[in-house]
Amino acid sequence: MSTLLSFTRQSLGPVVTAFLGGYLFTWGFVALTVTSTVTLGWGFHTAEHTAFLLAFPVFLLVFFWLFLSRKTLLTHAVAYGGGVLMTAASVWLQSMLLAQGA
Amino acid sequence: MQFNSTRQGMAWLHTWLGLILGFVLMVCFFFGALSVFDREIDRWAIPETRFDPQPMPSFDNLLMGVFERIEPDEAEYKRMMPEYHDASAGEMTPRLELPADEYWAYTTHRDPVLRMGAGFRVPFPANPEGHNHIHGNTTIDPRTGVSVPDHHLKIGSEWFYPLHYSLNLNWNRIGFFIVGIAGFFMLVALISGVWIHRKIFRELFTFRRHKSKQRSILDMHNMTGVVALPFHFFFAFTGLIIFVAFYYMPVTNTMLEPLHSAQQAIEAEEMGLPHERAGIPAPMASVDAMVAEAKRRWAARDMAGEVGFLQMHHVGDQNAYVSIYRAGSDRVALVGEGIHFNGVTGDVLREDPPHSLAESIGDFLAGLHLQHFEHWFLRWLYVIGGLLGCACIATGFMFFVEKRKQQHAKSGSQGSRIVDAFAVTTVTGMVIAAIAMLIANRIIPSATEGKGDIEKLVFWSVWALSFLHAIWRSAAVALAKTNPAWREQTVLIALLGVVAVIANWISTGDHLIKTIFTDPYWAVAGVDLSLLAGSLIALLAVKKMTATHETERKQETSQKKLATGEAAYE
Repeated sequence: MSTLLSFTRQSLGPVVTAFLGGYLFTWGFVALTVTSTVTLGWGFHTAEHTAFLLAFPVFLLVFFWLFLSRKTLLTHAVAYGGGVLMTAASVWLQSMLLAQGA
Repeated sequence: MQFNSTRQGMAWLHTWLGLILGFVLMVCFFFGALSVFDREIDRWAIPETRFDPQPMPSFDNLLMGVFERIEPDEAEYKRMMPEYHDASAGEMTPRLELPADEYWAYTTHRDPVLRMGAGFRVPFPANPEGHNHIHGNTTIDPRTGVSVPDHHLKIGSEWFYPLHYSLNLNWNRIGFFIVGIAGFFMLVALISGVWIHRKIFRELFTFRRHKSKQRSILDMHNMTGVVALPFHFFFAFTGLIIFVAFYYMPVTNTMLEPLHSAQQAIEAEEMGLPHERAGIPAPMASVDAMVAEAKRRWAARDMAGEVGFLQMHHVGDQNAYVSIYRAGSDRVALVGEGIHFNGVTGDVLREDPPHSLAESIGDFLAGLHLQHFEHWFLRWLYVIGGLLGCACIATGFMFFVEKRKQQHAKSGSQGSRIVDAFAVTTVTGMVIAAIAMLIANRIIPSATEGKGDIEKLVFWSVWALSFLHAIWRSAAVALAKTNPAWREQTVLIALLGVVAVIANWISTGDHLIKTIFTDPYWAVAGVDLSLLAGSLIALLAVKKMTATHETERKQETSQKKLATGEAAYE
């Protein structure tokens, strides 16, 4: 049991944090891609398709980067922080677009 | 976690994530491979539907009557009505009095039967902006309009097919999320696998069957992984892309929903298709005439074709409109070339414009995965690709166990034993469960109420039994030997495959001579032949396993004799 717990903590822990960091970053990336391209005049569905086509390549890159990096704290701060910042920026852009009657 | 090199980190990811999620991926690949012929499996399972594929029948003369007979689903009514209905605004409408708002019919070049459905409006909705529909579906014989009984489970398209993307675990869509996570880590395993196996081209041609068991298994794992690498990659990727917007990353349906809705309203206005009912009753124009006009317009664009999907919106209202989409049997991309008609006047309201580049790429990727095209050779390549994926994952499990079982036997660890039991269950146990379900389908009389539910019960029970059997027989692995459950379950596969074919013959009279030669019906012949091919492969595997078992036994005996001799000498 202790082996299983130690495996979960030491080995699966970094996988889970890299997965969640990658997910959060990609969420922000998709949201910001959609809102920024709609702001630039793209159709909503074109923007949506473009963002989702790029989502998994971005997710994979960030996941590998977080998992394999030696500077764990820095990379995780960039990924988690970047995800939150992009999400916040997209929410702000959305409110701007709605206010303009988009 | 710190690794000495990137390659070491990649190897760790490949081994452990491949192992943990490989059990889910095995289900996705195996049932995904079967889903390529889901309609054919449906024909095998429901003998009443063994006739040739039919074009969409007359809407005015046949389908309208069927639509009017469709009732809202009882279970969905009980589940969703309290959520959709605003009790303070008025009384809840009884199920059979819900007014129809939407009708649809769907067929493909492989479907003799026609799937149809209706969406019923909920009066006094809690959220008037929402899609407040209770649904009802039916499947008919398009030659007569007679419904296929509801208790007949379409084993191919309603059981094996959803298994590969949802595991048929529908509680809070948990199965979708498990498969989504597994699909993502499949991409991780593929990339890390390519990274750690640098000599990819050489591995394409390397299989040393006379080397050690561990070496042969690793060669097979590498070869099956590399041979179908593009297939594995695009299937995992396109599978994720299909569901990403709905389930895996619903950014535009949650956080950006206000912008999405606003854009949809603008698009609907631009398209000229009524978003809401007018509230004024009106009779329908001839839908057959609309179908004829749609076909004429497709032919004028040099893409003559049949109707694949037909949908009628705001039924019985002045704002009714009919959308007609072309069957995509002659192309990969999932585009319907939709033409929309005013439901009351029959005038064309709009023809869908060509998609943007990003949408076209999405259509192509989705079409590549869902393969609606009519190309039998390519469909078989899909099956082979799926089965190669299964072989790659199965040999991955076996290599994991082979590499560690000696060491675990010495240290007393149960790790290899547990992994091996799970591997038996997901490799041979899954196949046994699928064939047992088909046999149950042929043995249980057609008129039995709840026949489909019994078949599902057989599937899960047999799979659970195969796990218990694998656990029960796994003690050998703890002694660094092979689990006899592998051989025993493979024998069972060989037997059950033949039993299923015989059960089909006895219960329907459709034996192979008839379905191939005297009265050809390739859907059923194909399933029978695949079952027999499965039996043959299982038999060859049993022969090989028996030979390996004999070798192991002889080695063990000679080692024992040697040990006894050494002890006597001492």
